[in-house]
Amino acid sequence: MLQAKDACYVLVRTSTEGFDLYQRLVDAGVPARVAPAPHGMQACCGTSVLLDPEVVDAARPVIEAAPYPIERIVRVAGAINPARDTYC
Amino acid sequence: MIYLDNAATTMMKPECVVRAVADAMTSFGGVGRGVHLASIAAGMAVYRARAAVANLLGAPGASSVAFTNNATMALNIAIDGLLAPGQRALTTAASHNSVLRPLFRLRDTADCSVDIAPIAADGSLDFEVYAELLKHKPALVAVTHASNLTGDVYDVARMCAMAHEAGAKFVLDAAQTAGSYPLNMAEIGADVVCFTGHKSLLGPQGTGGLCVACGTEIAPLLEGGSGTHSYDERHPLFMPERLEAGTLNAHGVAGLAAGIGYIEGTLGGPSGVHEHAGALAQHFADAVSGVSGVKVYGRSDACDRGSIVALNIADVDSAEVADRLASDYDICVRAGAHCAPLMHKALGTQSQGAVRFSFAAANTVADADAAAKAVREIAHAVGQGC
Repeated sequence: MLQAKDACYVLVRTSTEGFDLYQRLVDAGVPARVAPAPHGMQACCGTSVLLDPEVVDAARPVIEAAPYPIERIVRVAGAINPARDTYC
Repeated sequence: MIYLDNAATTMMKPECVVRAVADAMTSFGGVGRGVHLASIAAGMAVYRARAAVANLLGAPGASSVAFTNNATMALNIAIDGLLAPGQRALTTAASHNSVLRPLFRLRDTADCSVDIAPIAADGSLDFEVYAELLKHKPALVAVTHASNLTGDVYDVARMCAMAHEAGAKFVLDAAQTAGSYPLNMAEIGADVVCFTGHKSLLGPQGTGGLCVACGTEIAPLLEGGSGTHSYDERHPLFMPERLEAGTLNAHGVAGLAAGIGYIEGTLGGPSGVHEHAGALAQHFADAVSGVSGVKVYGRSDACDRGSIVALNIADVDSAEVADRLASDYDICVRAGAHCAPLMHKALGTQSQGAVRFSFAAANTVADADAAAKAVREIAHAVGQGC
């Protein structure tokens, strides 16, 4: 049975910086996507960049090179089983 | 129809602009509001438009570009946000009302002082007087890159350097140059560049914005929904959200980005547009300058020349000439005061106004020749008392 998967959220100050970081990661060949920031983690900016934990090391130089501060990178255990409501 | 009112707005937008707006209107969610696929589509499009503007105008980066409804709104934000009560500002007589009126309002309501550097009868700026006025130590210098009446382009890099030496912030009104004349914010050194989207950037009406240099902090004029930092009592101070309250015109901004792409990909960039449209304006000016009764304004050797030619025929009201051009020749031009009252005063055309012919990338030599022929015929008719 599939388990809920961990995810790494890169938390940014503004949605513009979030889109900018996403573009930089994609340009560098690092798979990423824009996603809602978990509300419990950060109440200010609703946008984050979501990474698979396996690509965080590859993403880190891109993140560090961004010309704005990154609030933090947090790893979160997934709470929703992707195989939910699947019975066969 | 021959459309020569491009300084007001460019009429025929490239097909890619039309398509971008139409696509956006059926695929965009709220920009900066929510992070689902439709919202991300809008957010990425706006982000890419910011990056395109920054790249085109030499601004520091995507986050330095805030979108507004037009250049007037951008200039109001910049002037209101940089000029504190009691401070002094300097502008020139070439300024549009979008610079003059906010300054005069702050003079009347916030105890600010406003100096005006005069423009000579040939349309040029007297740098000696400008330097003298800078000795008053203005906090803000706000000037136009090119006169929206004569098209004359001023040496704003020099003006900016002098303003900075005097300790002033420098705001540039690029409404008439962004997209149609080489403009690099970093090379000029401007603290703020205000632009409109619907003229030479070929975007839809209702688009514009301002590019803000690093370290220049403009107090927000509008506060409200930002999509972020919702629990803060005050509007966020990060750019570009700092200067954007409420949902953006993302549909229009998508069209603006397409317009910039067209300028860079098809028209050879602002330099290519300037080369083409400026040559048409010069061709037209040369063709009408010697015509009896025709007076062409500006085009001073002290300035570079844009793609506008302003003229009058004898003492005929400019509105009547423009109406004759429209009704008899199907030529669209702009008559009247052009929201540039001090420039008309400098040129001595306050009562008559002027007839403005403004060329763009879409125009041809045939357009310029047809307009020149029409001017010659009207001038001839006026000369004969018709």
